[in-house]
Amino acid sequence: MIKLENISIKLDNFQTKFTVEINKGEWVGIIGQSGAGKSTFLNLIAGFAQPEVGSLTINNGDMRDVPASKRSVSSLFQDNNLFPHLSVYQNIAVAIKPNLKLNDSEKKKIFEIIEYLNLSSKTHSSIGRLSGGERQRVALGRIISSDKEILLLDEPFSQLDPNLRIEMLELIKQIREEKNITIIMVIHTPAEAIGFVNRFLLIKEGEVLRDLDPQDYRIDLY
Amino acid sequence: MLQIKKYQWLLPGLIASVIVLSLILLSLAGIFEYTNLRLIQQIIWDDYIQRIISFTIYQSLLSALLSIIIALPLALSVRKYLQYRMLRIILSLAWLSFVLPVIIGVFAIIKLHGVSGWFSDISVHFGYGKLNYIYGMNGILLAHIFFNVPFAIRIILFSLNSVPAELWRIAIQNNFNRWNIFTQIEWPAIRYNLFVTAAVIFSLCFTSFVVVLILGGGPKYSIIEVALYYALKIEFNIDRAVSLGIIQIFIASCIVLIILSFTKSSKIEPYTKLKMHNSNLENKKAFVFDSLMLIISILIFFLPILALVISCLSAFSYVTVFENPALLNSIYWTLLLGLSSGIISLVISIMFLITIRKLIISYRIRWLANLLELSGNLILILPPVLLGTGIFLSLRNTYNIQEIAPYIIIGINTLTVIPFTLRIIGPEYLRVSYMYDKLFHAYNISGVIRLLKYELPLLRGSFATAFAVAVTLSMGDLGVISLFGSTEIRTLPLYIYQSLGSYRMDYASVGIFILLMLVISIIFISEYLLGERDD
Repeated sequence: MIKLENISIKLDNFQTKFTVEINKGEWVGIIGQSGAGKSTFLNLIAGFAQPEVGSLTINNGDMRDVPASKRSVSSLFQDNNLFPHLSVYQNIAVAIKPNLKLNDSEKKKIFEIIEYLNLSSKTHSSIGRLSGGERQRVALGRIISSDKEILLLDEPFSQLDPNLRIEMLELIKQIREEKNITIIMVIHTPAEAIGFVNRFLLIKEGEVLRDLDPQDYRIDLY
Repeated sequence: MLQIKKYQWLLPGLIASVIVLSLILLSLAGIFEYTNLRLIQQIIWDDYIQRIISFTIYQSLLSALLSIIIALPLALSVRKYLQYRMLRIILSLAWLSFVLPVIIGVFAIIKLHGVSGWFSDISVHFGYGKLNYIYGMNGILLAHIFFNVPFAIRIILFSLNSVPAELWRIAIQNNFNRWNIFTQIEWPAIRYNLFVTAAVIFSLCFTSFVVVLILGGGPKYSIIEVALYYALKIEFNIDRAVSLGIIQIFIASCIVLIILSFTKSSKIEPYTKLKMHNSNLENKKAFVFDSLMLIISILIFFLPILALVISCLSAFSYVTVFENPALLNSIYWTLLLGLSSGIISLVISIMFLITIRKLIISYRIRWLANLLELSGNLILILPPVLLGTGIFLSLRNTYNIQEIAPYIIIGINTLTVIPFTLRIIGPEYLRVSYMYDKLFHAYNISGVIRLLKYELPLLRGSFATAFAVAVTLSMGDLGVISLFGSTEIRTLPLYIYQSLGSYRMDYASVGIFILLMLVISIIFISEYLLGERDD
């Protein structure tokens, strides 16, 4: 379980004050206007931003002095998720061993993930040769191979076309069901996520303003 | 008429190109007028010339290699702490050693490493006697490291700045260690620019006139350009000067071709600004290493400057400045010639870029844009002393050189700094154009309004840096002013050089101090008042 209590950090126009609980295995959609503090919410959980006051616990463990590298969290960003000089295989392998020197069982695991993502024909392709959807699938592959419990998605599919976005959400749903990971996703088009997320958190000026059942989502909530 | 108006954007670039090429051709005409085959053959087999060529290449290669080897770990350590304002200020100051008039840097090196320098004094204090290692290869290498390491650090930091923040975060989440970060993030980002930087440093050391003139310590450690200067100014041996000039053109052309063939066209893709992360990648060992690197950086760049400032302050007095007409006259000419060259070079660079932008973005005629850019950089094959020699030979029978000397000096210095201003403004200018071109077209914003009201504010930082570099490089020139200067037209570098030559260290110190203050003022006004700092 992820628990934020009065987590406060100074942003440009306001001070955040996040208080919320997210259960293990849950899929939560974060919605809100630009500049509301959605990405900051993710950065706090990932450890990329340090709160001034408040407490953050993951599985009852205090995260205050836990660096980002020691948290069981992985992130998928809107862009720049991949190392451009590495191949598909290598980009997935960095999550297991950053020096890319894998043993046989690790190699097998990578090939299985590549196959699972339907990228076998591109195993040794360079990133520049992939489409936007393929790139995000490779990034997901890296996340699968990292075996982390929490996945943070920061508008990861906003640059893809609608069909591809749904396809990616389906893929994430499948991964979540198989690995029981907790997903927190900042989403630009909430209507598309209605069939996937367990609930929405509406963030406004650094606070979780409402906790919404996806069925209750309306555009005028903002 | 409509057709002419449609292509009027070609005009600025063409005029700029004609101005640059005219001066270069004038110089080449002067050099080739005195050239004959017998002379070249004679020179090629001359032992002295062969030794000079070998030494020129050897010292440039060694200087470039050492500069890169030292700059790389320093830059990688410095990058992690850039969120601290103090470090950013130190970095801006370290940049001084690259734009600093060379004579100041050389003087600073002498004050630290010279026979009467700080290190020598410390050695005497501990009973080891005076240290005498500054003249010759040691001094040349020390000076080249002092000047070029900050340049290399800046380029490395700039390359690292193009790494998206997301990749650093992925590295954190995937437990990259120091070596993984270097191999997977830093090295791929910097390797290309590192090679180009090494090549640029090589070419700068290849034509390092002032350093070798003062620190070479004699004919044994002379480079082609210094030998050329001696041939023309001391021996008045035009044949030898011309032959050395041709050799210089040939070798410099090869170097420039190599650099250009490895240089990608201006980077135009918008880059994500590196968001400084409070890295938890690093452990205590790394912190100690980084701290050590920061201390070494400060020692390399600030000890000489400190030695220089203390020495200058002790020699400084009201009388030595205001009751010394020669010094006041030098200050006047330094400012006049430096500011003129700086402003003109900036204007010419903008003229080049207006046409280059249109060729690349609107018409996609990349080869013509490259050709135009090449004409602005052509000066790289003709170092200032050589360019001046050619112009002198061309005009000496037609004009009274003394009368037109200021114009010649401004012209040569302008041409010399154009490659730098083009390089500083160019990539940002194209990037901004790519980002806003559609907007400019949509609202019909063009011409002078576009330049002054929109592009200039957007590019304030680049323009300010380019202006600072152009003015300070021009103010610091010693080669051209040595050829064309006189008792009436004398800049501070020439005044200092002549004072050193006549053993007036007090005069030289005051001159150095004033020149340093002028340069710092120009940089401060340009970078902090005119332009926003962009780290």
